[in-house]
Order: sequence, then structure tokens, then C-alpha cells
Amino acid sequence: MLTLTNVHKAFGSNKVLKGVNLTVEKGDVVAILGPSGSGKTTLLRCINFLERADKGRLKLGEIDISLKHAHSKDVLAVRRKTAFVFQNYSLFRNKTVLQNVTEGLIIARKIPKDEAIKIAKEQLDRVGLSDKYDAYPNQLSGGQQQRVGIARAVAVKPDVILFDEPTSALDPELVGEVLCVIKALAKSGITMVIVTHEMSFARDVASKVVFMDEGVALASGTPKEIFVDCQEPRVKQFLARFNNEIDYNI
Amino acid sequence: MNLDTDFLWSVFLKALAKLPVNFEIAIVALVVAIPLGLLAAIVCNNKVPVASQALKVFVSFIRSTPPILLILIIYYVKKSLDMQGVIKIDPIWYAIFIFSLIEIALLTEVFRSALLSIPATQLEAAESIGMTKLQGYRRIVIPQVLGVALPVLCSSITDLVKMTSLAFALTVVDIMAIAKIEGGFSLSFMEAYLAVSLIYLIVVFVLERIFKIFERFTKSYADK
Ligand SMILES: Nc1ncnc2c1ncn2[C@@H]1O[C@H](COP(=O)(O)OP(=O)(O)OP(=O)(O)O)[C@@H](O)[C@H]1O
Ligand SMILES: [Mg+2]
Repeated sequence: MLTLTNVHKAFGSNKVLKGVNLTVEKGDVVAILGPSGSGKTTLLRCINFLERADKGRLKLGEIDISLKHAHSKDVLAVRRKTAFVFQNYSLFRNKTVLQNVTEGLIIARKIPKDEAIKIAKEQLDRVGLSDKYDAYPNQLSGGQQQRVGIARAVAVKPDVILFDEPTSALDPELVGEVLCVIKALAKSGITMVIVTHEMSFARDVASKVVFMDEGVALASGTPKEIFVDCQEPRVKQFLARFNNEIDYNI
Repeated sequence: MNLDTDFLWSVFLKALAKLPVNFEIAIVALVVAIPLGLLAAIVCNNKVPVASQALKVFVSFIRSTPPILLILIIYYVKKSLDMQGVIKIDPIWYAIFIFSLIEIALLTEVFRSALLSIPATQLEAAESIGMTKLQGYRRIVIPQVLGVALPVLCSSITDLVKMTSLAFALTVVDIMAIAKIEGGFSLSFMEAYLAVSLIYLIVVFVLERIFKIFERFTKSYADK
């Protein structure tokens, strides 16, 4: 459903992506792991054209375009089939919780207002925020804000939702509630690509794990293939500390 | 010194009748300058080639020139146009023109720094759910910019209203011109000027009250 081929991106002389390939099937939950600076965020941003790649192709449904030369019409088409959940939530600060969700429905998808409000309320209820419709983002905890961010993304019914470290800006005690919401979405069959440092979450929830290192997708496979069977030394090294923790737990 | 309070009062009333002239200049200048200032600020901050450099030159020229000097320059433009008989228009339009330019330059700077305080991810979030850049600016970024800029915007509106008192130099018959004319007739300039300053005192007081209410109204999301 979503295929990226040979994605390259440099910032000045800093080559961040050096030919990334990625395939996402419908219903997949793809977890992207990898050390800091390996280009995970940049890759997600290129998919949504928040960053222009220097090279590469993107296939999404019937759309098949160059990441570098895509016209604004195609860019808009891709963005209307995808949604992004930001590390720092990035809720619209001048809008209430409800308006944050209806905005994309009414303005981008031209859905009538009363229907948009109905959809938005459904999605907010789903993430457990039925009592916060009229709050402004600055009146919410980080975990609540991120759940609004997720509701905003889900509401526009995208083919794929892109998550960039959705829990890494949260206080530890708030991580659980957000992961719980994402887990429920995964169960309901929504296709997702999630950059995360939550290893056990990736192992338990993902249908596919991709390990990125120095601008390439070094390894990919089922959680078992990556966490247990992978012989790639960089992957083993990266996962060693996590796997050790599991041993301790046992 | 003896104040002729009857004369002061009569100038006060005559000048007050011309207050709409000053308001007209200020309001038209603002209506022109707020959208153009926003646009200029966005162009500058996006580093649009040529346009952003040109705007920077314009802004620093206007900002570094005393308003009275700009008005005198415009006055000589007006005079030579009048003499050649090319066009003869009400001097108020010259005043509106020059105050619009001044206000565009001032507001461009105000909005530029307000824009910088809005995280880039606000626009990205709008674009990521399929809104166009234009929609993102109009519905998400610009309302926030106006919210952030409001206190500075208000004080610059007060400054503008005060600055319109220079319009008499363009032969606009405004409240200041009345003071000069009446003062000239009776040679009681002190009373005439006091009358005008009284009007400004009241106008500024009322404006600041209104802005206070405004600010409380938009504060709900602006502080964090
Ligand atoms: N806008 C930018 N301008 C210049 N360099 C950038 C920009 N964005 C990212 N980079 C660089 O690209 C590299 C990869 O960054 P990226 O954010 O994609 O890594 P990451 O894998 O998401 O890391 P992390 O796990 O820390 O979030 C880094 O070296 C970073 O400095
Ligand atoms: Mg990152």
C-alpha cells in the first residue's frame, strides 16, 4: 500500500538518508527503531513532504510520484491520505480540543460542520477525552495532548498514520495511556508507521520492525526476526541492552 | 499666566468636530497596513528571494526616517503635482498614503517577531492533515500571530493616532490644524494647544481601555 524506494536526503553536506526502502501493507503496524540521528524522523517527514527528499519514489495507493519533483497537487493528495502525530503533539494552540479535530475535517476534507463535530466527538471519546472538548491545549497534560493529536490524525481517516516518537516527550507515568491508545488503534486495523524507542511496545504491537542505521533500513522483519534471530551486529548491539533488561525481568 | 477658559472650550469643541479626520487617516492606514504588514512579515520570514530583500530595505528606510521628514517629502511631492496640475486630490489622501507606509513598515517588524514565536510545527501540523499552506496561515498561524502581537499592536495604534497630528503639515484640516488656525487668530496658542492635548488625552485613555478588554478576551490560549 505504501512503498518507498531509494530515498535520499541530505542537509547541506550531512547525508541523512542514503537510499531507504520501505514497504507497508494495509493493516501493518511498522515500528522503526534505530539509534539517535539515524534519520528516522527525516524519513517520516519526507513521506509527508514536510521535508523534500533529494531522490526517491513514493507509492501510495494509486499515487506513484517522485519525492523530489512532486507537484503541489500530488503533495496535497498524499497528505490527505496520511496523517502525522508529532513528538511534541503540535496541537493548534488557538483551537479547542474539539476544533483541533474538526479543523482537518471541515477545512481540508470539506465535511459538513455538524458531521465533522460528530466524527470528532467519536474519536475523542475513543481516546478517553469526552470531558475535554472545550479545553485549550495548554490546559491539558502531555498525555492528554498527545491523545488529542492521535484523535486529530485518526479522524481524517488516513490510509496511513505516521507517528514520530509519540511518547518520548512524555513524563514516564503518562507513557502508558498513550501507548494504550495506539495499541487499540493497531487492533482495529489502522495502518501505522511508528518511530519509537519503546522496545517492548515495538516487540508486542508491531507486525513488522525496521531497524534504521546511518541513513539506511539495515534490517527488517517480524519482531521475532529482529529481536531474537537477527545476526546483524549493529542490530544486536543496539538491542543488547534491551534484551538484557528482559533477562533481568525473567 | 491667565488661561482664557472660554476660548479653550470653544477650540476644544471646534477641534473635536475634526477628530473624525484624524480617525479616518488612522483607520484607513491600519486597514491597509495590517494585512500588508502580515503579508510582508510572512514574505520576509520565508526568505522569498528579491521580495524579502526589497522589503527589508523599505522597512529600514521608513523606520530610520523621522515621520515629519517623510511628511515634508510627501508635501513637496504634493506641491509639485498640484502646480503641474496633473492631479488635484484631497490632501487627506497624501496623509493616508504616508501613514500607511509608515504603519506597514512598523507592523512588518511587529508581525515578523510575532511569527518567529510561533513554532514551525503549527503550520506543519495543519499541512500534515491536508490543509494548504494558505489555509494553515489563515486559520492557524495568523490568528496566533495576532494574539501574540496584540499588546504591541495596540500601543502602535495609539502611537499612530497621535502621529496623525502631523497631517496638518500636509494642509489636512484636522484637530491640530484647528488649533493652529484658532491660535493664530487670537494669538492664544497656549489655550488652543491645551484644547488639543485634552482631546488626545481622552482619546488615548478610551483606546487603552478598549485594548485592555481586547487583551483579556484573547488571553485564553495565548499564555503558556
Ligand atoms: N532541518 C534540519 N536541518 C539540518 N539538519 C537536520 C535537520 N533535520 C535533521 N537534521 C539532521 O539529520 C540527522 C538525522 O536526524 P533525524 O531527526 O532524522 O534522526 P532521528 O533518527 O529521528 O533521531 P532521534 O532518535 O534522535 O529522533 C541528524 O544529524 C540531524 O542533525
Ligand atoms: Mg527523531
